[in-house]
Amino acid sequence: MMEEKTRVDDIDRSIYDIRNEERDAYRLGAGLTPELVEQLSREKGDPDWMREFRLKSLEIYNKLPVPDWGPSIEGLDMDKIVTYVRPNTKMQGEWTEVPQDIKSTFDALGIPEAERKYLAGVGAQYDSELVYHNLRKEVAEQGVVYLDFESSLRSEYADMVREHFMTLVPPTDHKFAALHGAVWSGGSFVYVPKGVEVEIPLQSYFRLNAKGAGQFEHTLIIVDEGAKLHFIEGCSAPRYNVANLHAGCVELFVRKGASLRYSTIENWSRNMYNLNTKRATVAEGATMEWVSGSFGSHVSYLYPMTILRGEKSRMEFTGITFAGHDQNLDTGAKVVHAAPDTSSYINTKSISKGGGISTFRSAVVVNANARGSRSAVSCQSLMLDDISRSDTIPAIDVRTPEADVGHEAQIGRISDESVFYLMSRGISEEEARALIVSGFADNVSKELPMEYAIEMNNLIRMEMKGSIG
Amino acid sequence: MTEKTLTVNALAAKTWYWLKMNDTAVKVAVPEALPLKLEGAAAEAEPVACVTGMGADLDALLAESPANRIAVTAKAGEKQTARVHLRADAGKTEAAVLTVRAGENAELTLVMDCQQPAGAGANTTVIAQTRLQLEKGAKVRLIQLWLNQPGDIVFNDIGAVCGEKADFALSQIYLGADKVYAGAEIALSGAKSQTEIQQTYQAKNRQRYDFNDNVRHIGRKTVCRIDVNGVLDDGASKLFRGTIDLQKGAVGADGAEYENVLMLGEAASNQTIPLILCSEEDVKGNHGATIGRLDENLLFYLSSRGLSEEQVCQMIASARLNAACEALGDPQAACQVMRFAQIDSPCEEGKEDA
Repeated sequence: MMEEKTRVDDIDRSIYDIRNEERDAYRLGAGLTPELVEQLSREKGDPDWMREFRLKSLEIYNKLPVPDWGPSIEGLDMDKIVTYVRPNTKMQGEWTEVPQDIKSTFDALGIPEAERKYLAGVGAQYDSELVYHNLRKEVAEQGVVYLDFESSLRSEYADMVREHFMTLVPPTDHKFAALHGAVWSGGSFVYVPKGVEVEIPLQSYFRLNAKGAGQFEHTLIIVDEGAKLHFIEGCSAPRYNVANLHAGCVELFVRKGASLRYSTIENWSRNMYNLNTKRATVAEGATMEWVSGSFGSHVSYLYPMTILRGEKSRMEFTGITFAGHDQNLDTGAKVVHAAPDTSSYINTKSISKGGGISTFRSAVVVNANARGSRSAVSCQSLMLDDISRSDTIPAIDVRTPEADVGHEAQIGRISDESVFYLMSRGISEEEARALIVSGFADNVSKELPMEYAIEMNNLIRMEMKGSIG
Repeated sequence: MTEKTLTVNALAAKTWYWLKMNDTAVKVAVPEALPLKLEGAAAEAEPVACVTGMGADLDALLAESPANRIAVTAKAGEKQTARVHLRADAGKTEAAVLTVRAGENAELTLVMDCQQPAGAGANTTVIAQTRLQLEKGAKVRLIQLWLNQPGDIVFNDIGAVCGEKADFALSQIYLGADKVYAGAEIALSGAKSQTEIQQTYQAKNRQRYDFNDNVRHIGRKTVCRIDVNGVLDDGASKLFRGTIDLQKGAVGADGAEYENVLMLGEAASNQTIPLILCSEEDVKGNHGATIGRLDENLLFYLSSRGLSEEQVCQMIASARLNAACEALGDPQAACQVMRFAQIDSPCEEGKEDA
C-alpha cells in the first residue's frame, strides 16, 4: 500500500494529548460544599471579602437551575469534579525554573518559543495555578500591568481589582458564573494605562492536566482611555475518560477611545465541558474585537458578550466553530447597543462533521436610546456529512426606529464542483476538502497573528483527517 | 367565564430566557362557537391529525369548547374555490375549527376573512384553527384576511401536512387587531412538496403581534419560502419566530426565510428569531432579515417633493400593503383589504362584499 503523505500527516496531534503524572500536587476533595470552598479560600490566602464572595456565590449556584436551552450537560457530575489542583511548584518568572515535565508540555505547545518571537508577555496556567508569568521589561516600563490574578489581589491594584471583579459577569448571571465566583483560581489581571499602545500581544495559556478536575481562571483586563491591546488566550488539555470542566470568566473594560482585541484558539480535549463566560463593556468611541476559534471540548457553551455603553463605540466578532465526532458546540455572540451611534458586526462560520453538532446562537439587542446604531450579523454553516447537525438560532431585539439591523445566514455543503476542480489539479479529495474548509475559515485566520493562523489551519486539517467516506 | 392560561408559539429550539422569545403565555376564556358563513366546497371530512403552530395548549382549549367545526374538501382532480367569512360577536370569545382536505391533484383556493366592521364587532376574541391535508400533487392556496378593530384579539393557528409534490401557499394579512397570536406548522412530508408563506402586518398604537412559523422539511427535494413584511408604528411591537427544519432524509431540500420590518414609531419594538435547524448534508438553508427605518435618501427625495415625513411614511406603508394585496392573486380579497385600509384602489364599490 502506498504510504500516505499529506500535509495533514505532518501535524503532530500528540502534542495536545501530553499527560503528566500528578506528582505531589495538592488536590482539594471532589465536589462542591461550603467547607471545600472555605478550604480553597484558605489555601489561596484570600482576603476576607473574597472568601465571603465565594461563599455567597456558592449559595447562588445552589439556587440557580441548570440551563435547559443548550446542549445536555448530564455527563457532568459536580460531585466528582475536583475544583482545585495546585501543581507542586510556585509561579516562576523564568522557564528554566518551571518543573521539567510542565515546561516540556508548554514547550510542545510552543509557548516559550512564541514568547521569544512575538509576545509582550505570557502567563501559563497549569491546572489551577499559574506556573509561569512574565512581562517584557520595555512593556512594563510603559506602565502596563500584567499580573497573575492572585498577585493582583495583594498588589497596589487590589482596590481596582476588587472594584471590577465579577461586576460585568455577576454570580447571579447563570449557574456557571456562580460556580466560577465560588471556586475561581488563577487567571490574569491586565491594566493598560491611558494612551499606551501595546504593540505586540500578551498571551495567557491555560493547560488542564489533572484528570477529573475543573479549571476556573479569571481574566480581568482594563484598557484605559486611548490605550490599545491585543490579548491572546489559548487552552488545551489531554483527553481522559472522565469529564473535566472549564468554567472560566473573562471581564473586559474598554475605556473611552481605547481598543482591545481578544483572540482565542480553544482546543480543549473531547472530555471537556467548556462552560465559559466572556463579557466586555465598551465606552465612548472605543472598539472591542473578538476573534474566536472553537475546536475542542465535548460540550461548549460560549457566547462572548459586548455591551456598547458609550456613544460611537463599536464591536466586531469573528468566529469559527468546528464540531467533530462526539462534540456538541453551542457558540456565538451577544451584543447590547446601549448608546447612540454604536455599531456591531458578527461574522461566524461553523463546520459540522462526523456526527458533531454545531449551534450558532446570538443575540443583538438595540436599546431605545441607541439611536443611529447599526448591526449586521452573518453566519455560515457547512455540513460535511449527513450524520452531523448544524443549527442557527439568532435573536434580534430592536427597540428604536432609528437603527439599522441586518442579518443573514446560510447552511450548505461543499459543492462537488469545487472538489472536482481541485482534484483535477492533482489534489487528493481529502486534501481538496481540507483546503476548501480552510478557505471557509479564512475570516478568522486572517484576523490572527500568522503563527496562530497556522495553528488554526493545522487544527482544521487534523479535524478533516479521515473526512472521506 | 372560565379563563385559562395558555403557552403558545413555542420556539422550535429554546434560547436564552432573558430574551423572552421562547414562547408566549396568554390568558383566554373557553370559547363559544364562532358564527361563520361558508361559500362552496363544503363537505364532511375526517379531522386532520397534525401538529399546529400554536401548540398543544390551544388544541386542549378547543377540545373542551363548542367551537364551530366545518370542513372544506376538494376531491381528487377537482378545482375549487371556497370562502369562509368569520363574523364574531362583540365582547365574546369564539372559536372555529376548519378541516381542509385536498385530494390527489386537486386545486383549492380558500379565502378566509375575519372583518369586523368599525364599532360593531369591537372587543372580540376570535380563535381559528385550520388543519390541512394535501394529498399527492394537490395545490392549496389559503388566503387569510384579518381585518380587525381596536380591542380585538386574534388567535390564528394552522397545521398542514403536504404529500408528494403537493403545493401549499399561505397568505396572511393582519390589520387592526390589538393583539395577534398566530402560528403555522407545515410538514413537507412528501418528496418535492413545497410551501410559500407570505405574512403581512401593519401594527400601530400599542398593538402586539406574536408569530410562530415552522416548516419541517421531511421529504426529499422539498422547498419552502417564508416572507414576512411588516410596519410597526407608534408603540406597536412584534415578535416573529420562524423555523426552517431541514430534517435527516430531506436530501436536496431548500428552505429560505426573509423578513423586512419597517419601524416608524418612536416607541415601536421588534423581535425576530429566524431559526435554521439542519441534520442533513445535501440541503440549502438561508435566512435574511432587514430591520430599520425608512431609507434616508428616499425620505429626502420625497420630502423635497413637498411631502411631509408623515405623508412619506404613510405612502410607503400603503405601497407595501398594496404589493401584498396584489400578491394575493385574488382581486376580491385584495379589494377587501384595500378598502379596509382606506387605500385608493381601482376596486369597484361593493365588489368585495361577501
